[in-house]
Amino acid sequence: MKRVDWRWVLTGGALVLALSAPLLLSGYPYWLHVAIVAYFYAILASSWSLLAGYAGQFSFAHMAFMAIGAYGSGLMGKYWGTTPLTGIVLSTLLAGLVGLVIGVLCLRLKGAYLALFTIAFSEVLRLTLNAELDITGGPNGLDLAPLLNTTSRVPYYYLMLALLLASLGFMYWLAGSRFGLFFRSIREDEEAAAAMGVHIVRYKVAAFVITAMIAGLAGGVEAHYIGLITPNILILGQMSIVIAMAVIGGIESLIGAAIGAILIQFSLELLRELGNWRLVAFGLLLMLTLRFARNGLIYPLIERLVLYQARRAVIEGREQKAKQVGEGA
Amino acid sequence: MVEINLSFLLRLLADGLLIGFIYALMAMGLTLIFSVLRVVSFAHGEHYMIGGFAAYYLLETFTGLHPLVAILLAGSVTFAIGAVFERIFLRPLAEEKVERPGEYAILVTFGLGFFLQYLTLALIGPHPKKAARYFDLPAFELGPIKATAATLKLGTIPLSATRLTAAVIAVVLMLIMLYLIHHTWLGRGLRAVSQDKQAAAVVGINPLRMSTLAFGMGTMLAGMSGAALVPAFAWVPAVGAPAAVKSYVIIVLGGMGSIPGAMLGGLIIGVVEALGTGLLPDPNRAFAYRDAYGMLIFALVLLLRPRGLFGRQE
Amino acid sequence: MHRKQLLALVAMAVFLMLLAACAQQAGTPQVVRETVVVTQEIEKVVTQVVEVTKEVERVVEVTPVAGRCAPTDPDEVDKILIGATGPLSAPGSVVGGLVMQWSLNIAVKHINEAGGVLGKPVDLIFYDTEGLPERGTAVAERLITQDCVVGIVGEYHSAVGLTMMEVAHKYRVPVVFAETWNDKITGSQYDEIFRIAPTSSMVAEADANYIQDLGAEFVVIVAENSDYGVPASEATKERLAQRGIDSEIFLAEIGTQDWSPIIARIQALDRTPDVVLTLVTGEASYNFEQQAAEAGLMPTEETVCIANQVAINSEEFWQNVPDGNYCVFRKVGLVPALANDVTRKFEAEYRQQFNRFPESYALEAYDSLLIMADAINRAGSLDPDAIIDALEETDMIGAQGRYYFPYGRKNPVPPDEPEWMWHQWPDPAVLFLQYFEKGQSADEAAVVWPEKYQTHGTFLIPYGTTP
Repeated sequence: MKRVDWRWVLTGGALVLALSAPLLLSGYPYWLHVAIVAYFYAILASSWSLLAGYAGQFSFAHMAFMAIGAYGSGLMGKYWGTTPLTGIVLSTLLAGLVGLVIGVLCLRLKGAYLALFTIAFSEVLRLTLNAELDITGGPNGLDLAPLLNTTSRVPYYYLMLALLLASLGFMYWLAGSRFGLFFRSIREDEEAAAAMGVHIVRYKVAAFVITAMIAGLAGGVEAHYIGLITPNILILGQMSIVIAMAVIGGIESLIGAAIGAILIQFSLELLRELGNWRLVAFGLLLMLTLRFARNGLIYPLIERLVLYQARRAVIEGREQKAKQVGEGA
Repeated sequence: MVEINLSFLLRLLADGLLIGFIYALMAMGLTLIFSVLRVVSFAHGEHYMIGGFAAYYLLETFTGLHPLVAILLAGSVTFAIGAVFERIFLRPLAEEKVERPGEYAILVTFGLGFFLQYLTLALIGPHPKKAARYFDLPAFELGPIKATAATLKLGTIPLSATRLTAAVIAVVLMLIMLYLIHHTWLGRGLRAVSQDKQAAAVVGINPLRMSTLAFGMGTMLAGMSGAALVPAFAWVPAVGAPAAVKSYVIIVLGGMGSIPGAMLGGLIIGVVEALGTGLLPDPNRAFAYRDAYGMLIFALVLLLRPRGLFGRQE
Repeated sequence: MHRKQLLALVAMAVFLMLLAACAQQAGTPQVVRETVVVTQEIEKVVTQVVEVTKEVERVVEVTPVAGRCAPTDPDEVDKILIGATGPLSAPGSVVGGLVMQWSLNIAVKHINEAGGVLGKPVDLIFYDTEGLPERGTAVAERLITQDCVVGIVGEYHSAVGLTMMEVAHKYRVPVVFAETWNDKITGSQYDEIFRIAPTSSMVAEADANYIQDLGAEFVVIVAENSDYGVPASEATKERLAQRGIDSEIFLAEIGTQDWSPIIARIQALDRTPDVVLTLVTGEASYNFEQQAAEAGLMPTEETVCIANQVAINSEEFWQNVPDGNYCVFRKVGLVPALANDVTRKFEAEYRQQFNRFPESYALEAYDSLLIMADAINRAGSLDPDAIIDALEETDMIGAQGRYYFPYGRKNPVPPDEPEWMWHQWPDPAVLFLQYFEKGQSADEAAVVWPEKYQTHGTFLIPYGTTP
């Protein structure tokens, strides 16, 4: 008799839940909106964890790439009359290009230097978007055309869900491929990796380009969904929320970061009445997680489940073997 | 149109230097932390903010308290916060028990900053506070030099009394710090640990204690800069972020871990900002991009000379 | 490595410049045109997918006809739910939001003490909009579709109000905006949108009139780079120009602390301004005013200081701007001398918390709820059309005086009136007050404009004198 594999049951359950959410939330369009935004943050947090957790590039410019996706598409629509889809495609490429430049510039920078440089980049971008009123609309923000010809939230919900699943799938494939291996070897010991023939430059830059494009894509879609983008999305506080989501979910796990993001987005929304105290609690949780649960709070749960399954498989294998041996005798 | 003449340039220069001394004091704390712990504290701005509030509330509660005493007490408050935080959250780092310590340090100090800022906001609210002027200038007139309680006027250049006071306090504190670091047992201990931890331990210096002390002293300097400036700026919980970003720029420019670098870097950034804002032709852009001038220098230094002006080659 | 990085930098700069150049010419580059062709194909597919989803939705009846969930029959509810918003966290103006929340709670108490609405108690649901337009959308949606409110009141930031009004319009829920000044809000002429705050144009007009009465020839406007500062400074500059008065605008980032370089620039101008007008909010305005005072820019015998309206919080003002004596500031709303019974009742309660005469946005927040409650009472129903009709016929005394909305569905805005007069209370008082004694409370400050309210018979108490 074949045992139930709980991993697949849980994954399947989560998928069914996610797919049927519009039905379950049909009377609550607001929570559907929260779910869309939560998926958006999940894409950002998981792609950031690919860059930071897997490739060890501690960038604070992730929201900046997101904003390039959003503003790029908005500005192209405003000045060139492109449709939202064209805008998103082009601005995703643009985010990748900027990611390439930043990646190349950051090659020699490590740890705190890299963090500081990317903060500077992000801040200069924010100041520019604020200051160039005539082009970007400044602090009033930039209006964007809706991506889909519908007033309903449901298509957007599925679009963002598909985007999340696709980017998670792509990143898992990447992490499992040679790329992922090299990312990790660079993170653990750059010199050793280089000595073993890993082309460090190429992979470091690739990590930047790929994650920048994912962030840019998510930013473009989100901005066309909301219909407005302001430079406030680039304040350091926003970036710290994405980082906290990834850390609490599990910085070295893509799915952990994504689930962390979704849970945190929903709990921030549920606890809105608490005002600033919820952010106080959030900051404390971030510090304690870092100190006492380096792998985050979500990832260890997943890991335990996987380990449990593996152990079960081993035990079953042994039992089977024992049985066969017994039968053979 | 703005007429660019010598007195205008001198005025920008004076403004820049005055604010530069205060930047330098704050950056000195950051660089001290880095030199011993190899950590950039991303909560530096919040210690500055708390120092300011501590001084304000001390002066409010204990009327008649001397401002200098309030500054020292505010420094002790942030010293305590810094030392306790180091003991709980950064100790594993000093014991080298953490994987990838650089990233851990960035995140955990970042978390501290986030926590402190929102805690202050939740506790005392968003209303701006400002301490009364610490010292009134004696009114006098001596040729082109004129003084009122609030302003010292050198010809056409007005210098604010509160900033002048803060700059003087900054200079004095920096001199005291230099003395401590170069002429006392404590300073020798800190320098020894910053150069070689193992060797320091061999000669009987406890590197763990030095880490706690260095972090506490670094946050104390940030707190004291805040306390010195709370009569100059309207103080709100978000006041720390821009100041912290300046400190980052300065220590990168001066060389991470270099104390003379932080001092010179502070002055350079102060002057560059003042000149940039004063001289760029379009006044609106000039001001909107103010924080970008420092950032630009910062990016160039990182790319072209990452060890900064005085940094050690690593 | 050095060369590579420099090359990359140069490449990025060139690219950005090209992008900027293209944007300026508004021409469409080749690559864009090609992508358009490809994406048009994709779009066709996407459109079909959307159509299919819509079809599925229709079949499954996922989305009810409207997301608005408030019942129209008052008998179905045991309390009348009204939504309210304001900024309670950064980057919003937290001070304004807190005061508004407090004032709204006082209004709830007073309404319920007087027997509630339609014989039922009023309950207020207040949400933080953080000053972010996208939060405005989300929060309005939540209030309407989740909490089932029958109407919305309050809000401080125009940018937020602009997005909220779209949601309210979509679901047909009446809104009385308390402190959003942007012309476009009532300019939208949506049935659902009412406003009791002055519009930016009304305020700019008042500023220009006062400055003209001061006899100024050259004005410096210091404004924040925001949805408030930019349009306000431009509107004022335009109106000053119509009156033959020169002006120059200096913009700064929101939350600026150190103003010394900009003050140096103003003082290096080839002429001394007669008036410096501060269109900067929050603590940044205090920083500017104090630093300008220390540098001898204003207030002086030559230059009149017009501080930002937040100067009305006199305790805060004197703490943060100790050298700001003789500053003038604009006050929207009442002076204590014009208070009526409603004002006094509110003031008594307000003083227990803040110990000062309520600011305009406190009065407006309080009144916005009174107006909504009054309209629901007269409508006798929770039906949005009935409430909107009742709101259009408003004629009641609030804390700021008599409220009425001259133009609306029954009486369209005539062509010679600006379109933002739609559902707009035309009489918000705009006054100018002047401190003339250090540490003075706002209640003791002199009213210097308009002439009919003057307490000291002058447009300006000259610098350094005692009236």
